[in-house]
Amino acid sequence: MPPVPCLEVKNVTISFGGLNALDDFSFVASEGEVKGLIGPNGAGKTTLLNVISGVLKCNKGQVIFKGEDITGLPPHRIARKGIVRTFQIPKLYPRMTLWENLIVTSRVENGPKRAIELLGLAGLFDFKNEFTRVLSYGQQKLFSIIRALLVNPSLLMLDEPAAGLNALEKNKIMDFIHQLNRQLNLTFLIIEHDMGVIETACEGVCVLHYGKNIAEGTFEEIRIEQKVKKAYFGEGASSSE
Amino acid sequence: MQLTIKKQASYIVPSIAFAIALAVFLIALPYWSSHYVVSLMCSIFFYIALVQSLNVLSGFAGYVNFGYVGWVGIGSYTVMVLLNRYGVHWLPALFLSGIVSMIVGIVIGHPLLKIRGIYFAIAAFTFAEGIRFLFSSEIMAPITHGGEGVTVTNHDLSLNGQYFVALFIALLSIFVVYKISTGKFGLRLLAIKSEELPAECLGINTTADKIVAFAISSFFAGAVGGLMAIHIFFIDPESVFSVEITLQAILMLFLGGGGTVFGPVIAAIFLTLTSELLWSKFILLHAGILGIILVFVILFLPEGIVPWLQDKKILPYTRKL
Repeated sequence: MPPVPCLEVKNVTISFGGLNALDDFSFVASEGEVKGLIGPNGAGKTTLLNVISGVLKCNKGQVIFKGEDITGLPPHRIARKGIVRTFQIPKLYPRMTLWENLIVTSRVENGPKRAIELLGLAGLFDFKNEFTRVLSYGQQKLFSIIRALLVNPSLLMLDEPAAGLNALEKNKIMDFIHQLNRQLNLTFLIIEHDMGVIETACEGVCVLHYGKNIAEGTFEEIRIEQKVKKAYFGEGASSSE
Repeated sequence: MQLTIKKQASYIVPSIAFAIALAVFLIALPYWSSHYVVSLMCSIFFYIALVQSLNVLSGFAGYVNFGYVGWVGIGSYTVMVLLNRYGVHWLPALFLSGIVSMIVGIVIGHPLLKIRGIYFAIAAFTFAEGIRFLFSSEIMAPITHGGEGVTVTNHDLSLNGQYFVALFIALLSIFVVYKISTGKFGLRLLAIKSEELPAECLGINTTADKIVAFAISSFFAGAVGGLMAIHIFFIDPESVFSVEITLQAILMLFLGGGGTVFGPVIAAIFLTLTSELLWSKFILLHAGILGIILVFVILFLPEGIVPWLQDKKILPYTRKL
C-alpha cells in the first residue's frame, strides 16, 4: 500500500526583503512517518515550520494537510486542525503550574486523565503542582512536547528537541518520540542539528540549503549525497574524501 | 479524610463570621458616618472596580493599558448626556455607559491589540489623550460643553445610593475577576501574557480572547466612569480624562499583583487611603510620594505583593482547576 501523505508542502516561496528564505520548496511527509529536516544554519528550517504552523505567510505555494489546503490560516486554526509545534526554547508559562500549563490548551478527550498519563510517562508527575521553573532544561523540553501532545495533534513538529541536552536526556526524548510514534501513529517533523538524533529517530530526511530542498531520502542515502556534503563542508568537500 | 474535613471546618466558621461582620459593617456604615467618610468609601469602591477591570486586560493578559482613563471618561460623558439630555433613569444610564465604553473598547481594541508592550502602552495613551482633546474641542462642544465642563444633574441617586451602587460594582468586579481567575479563560489570558505566539500555536485564539478581555475591562471602566460623574457632580475633560486615574490604577495593580484576585483589592484600599492622607497633609508632595512608591514596587516587588507572598509560601497558591 502506498504511503498516505499527511503533509504536503508545494512550491513554497517566502522572501524577506531580497532574500528568499524558502525558494520554491516542496516536500511530503507521509502519515505515521518520522521525518527529519536538516540543513546548515540559516537554511530556512525554522522558517518552514513557521510557514506550516501559520506564523508566517508565504508569498507563493501551498501547504496541504490531509488533503486540505491550510495555506495562510491563522496559527490557532492550524493547531486545532492537528498540526502542533514546539519551539527551540521550551517557552512554558512561568506563572502557571505544570498542570495548568497542560490543561489550558488541552483538546484531547479525557484531557486530565491523559495529562496524568503523559506526566507519568515522562517522569514529571510529582511536579504537577509546581511552577515550571523547578524543571531542568531537559525536563522543560520534554514537558513542552507533552503540552503539545495534549492539543491532540496528528502532526507534531519539533524544533531542535535535543539542542542543549546531555546524552541521557537526548535518549529519553528519542525514546519518547519512538513510543508516541508507535502507539499513536503520530507523524513527526523534526528539525535537528544532532545527526545522532536524526539517524536514530528519523525514517526519512530532507535537506534544506538556501531555502531549497537539495536532497531527500533515508539517512544513509543523504550521508553520501554530494550536494549535502557541499552544503555542510563547502565546495572542496567531495574531492577531499 | 476526617482530618481534611476538620481542617476545612476550622477555616469555614471564622470565614463566615468575618464575611457576616464585614457585610453588616459595609451596610451600616453610610447610616452613621459623615458625608466625607461615605465619599471616601465610594472612592475606594471606584478604585477597586477600576483596578479589577484593568486587571483583566493588563494583569491577566499583560497588555498594560496606559490609556485606561479614556474608557472611564467616555462612561462619564455618556451618563451626563443620558441624564441631562434624555432624562434616562440613572440605572439604565450606568449600564449604557458601560456598553458604550465596551463598544469603543472592541472597535479600538481590534487594531490596538495587534501591537504589544511599550508600543501598545503608547498607542493606548495617545488614544486617551486624543479623546480628551476631542471632548474639549469646539466640534464636540454642543454635547460635551468643551473645556468649560458641565454639571451632572437630573437624577435621584443620593450619596448613600451612590455608596451602595459603587459597592455593588466593586463586588461584581471582584466576582468577575474571581470567575476569570478560576476558569480556563483566565489561564488562557495568563498564557497570552507570558508567551503569546506559542499560545496561539497551541490553539488559543489569542485575538478573540484579548478582545473579550478588553471588552470586559472597558465595560467596567465605563460604568465606574458613569457613577463617578454622578458622584463628583461636575465633569470636565481635565478631570474625567486625568492621566492620574490611569497611573493610580496601574500602581495599584502592580503593587497588589496583576493576575491575582485579592492583590489589587488590597492595593486599591491601601493606596486610596494613603493617597487621601497625603493629599490632605502634603498637597505638593502627593504625586512625588506616589511616584516613589511605584519605583520601589517595580524594583523590589516586580510581581506585586500577593505573588511575592505566595512565593514565600506565606499565602497559599489559590487558583484551583
